[in-house]
Amino acid sequence: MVDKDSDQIRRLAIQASTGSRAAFSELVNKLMNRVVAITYRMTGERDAALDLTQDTFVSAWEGIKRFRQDSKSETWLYRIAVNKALNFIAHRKISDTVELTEDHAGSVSQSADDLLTREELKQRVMQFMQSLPEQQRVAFELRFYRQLSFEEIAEVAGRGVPTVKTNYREAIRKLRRIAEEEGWRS
Amino acid sequence: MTCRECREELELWIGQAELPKEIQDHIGSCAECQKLWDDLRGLASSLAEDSAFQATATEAHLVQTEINRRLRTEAHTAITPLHWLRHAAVAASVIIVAGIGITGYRANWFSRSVSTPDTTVVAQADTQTRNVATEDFAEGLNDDDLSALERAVDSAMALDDATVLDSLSDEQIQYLESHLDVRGLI
Repeated sequence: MVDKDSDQIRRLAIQASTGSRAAFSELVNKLMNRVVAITYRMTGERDAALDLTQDTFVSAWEGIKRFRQDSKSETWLYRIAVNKALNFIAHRKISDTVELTEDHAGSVSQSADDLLTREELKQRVMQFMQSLPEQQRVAFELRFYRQLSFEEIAEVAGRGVPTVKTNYREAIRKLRRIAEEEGWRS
Repeated sequence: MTCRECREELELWIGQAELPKEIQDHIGSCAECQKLWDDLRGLASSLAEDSAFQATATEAHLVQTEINRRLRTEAHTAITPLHWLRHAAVAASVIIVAGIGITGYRANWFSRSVSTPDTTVVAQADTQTRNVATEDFAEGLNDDDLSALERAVDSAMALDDATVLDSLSDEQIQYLESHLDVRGLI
């Protein structure tokens, strides 16, 4: 299923690289939610995520003629999205103390014995993501949610595979600590 | 594979659909590592991809519409509005700083004592250089030139007027002089 989807995306990317706007439009439809999710979790801001999604696809169109057919089209797009998100974060000059924006702000204090609602879990995911250093955030997003190999993440992040593995492992350890301390439940 | 190696590896595979065979074989015969893997899978399921991180139908439509609008717009313009603004801002900075710098430099060149900027001359330079079409100026720059100028402006901003041009290379000075209509003043 995943491979079939991936093949279709690849075909669309190749068609778009020859100038087919229709193929590109279909590509946008297929991949939009992935890009929104990446930029949303990376930045913690929904409006910013939607803007960055637009920017990502506009940049993708501008660069699609240079798209290397030997690389996975999703990886190529994720690289653009991640770089857009990192630039946004750099300009926002995010402080160490995370300030959540309206759409996911709110009290998350709850005893460890309470079951967490879906919305609360979402808030905690966002808090967790925003608390990670940028490169750990990139590694976690691309590995955990996008199921990329470490080699692919290294390509997207422009880092070595061992560094990416270390970043992911650190993120997972932090996640486990937080989940244990705060009593996360599935 | 030892238990320690397995535990280290498991952290890298949290959230993934399949484990490598070597790890599968180990946890199949080690209750402790199997329990750790079950815990990690539980944690992963609590963070599973959620529609809350995707675009709603309305948002997706708006994003797609905006992407199409931007692609249509950019097809008819050699330079995007965003690029133009960036170039124009840099051009304006360069014009003003170079106007101040070149004036001060030339004053010192002819052994005139100018410890502070001659505001009259600077105003003249500023007025005159405002007549330079910033768009034409920006379009004449390639990325390397733009980066060099941005660095030059950053350097110049940190210096007093008397030493502004000392921070620039001869090539940069010649470049500025050739692009700015301030030569009449010097």
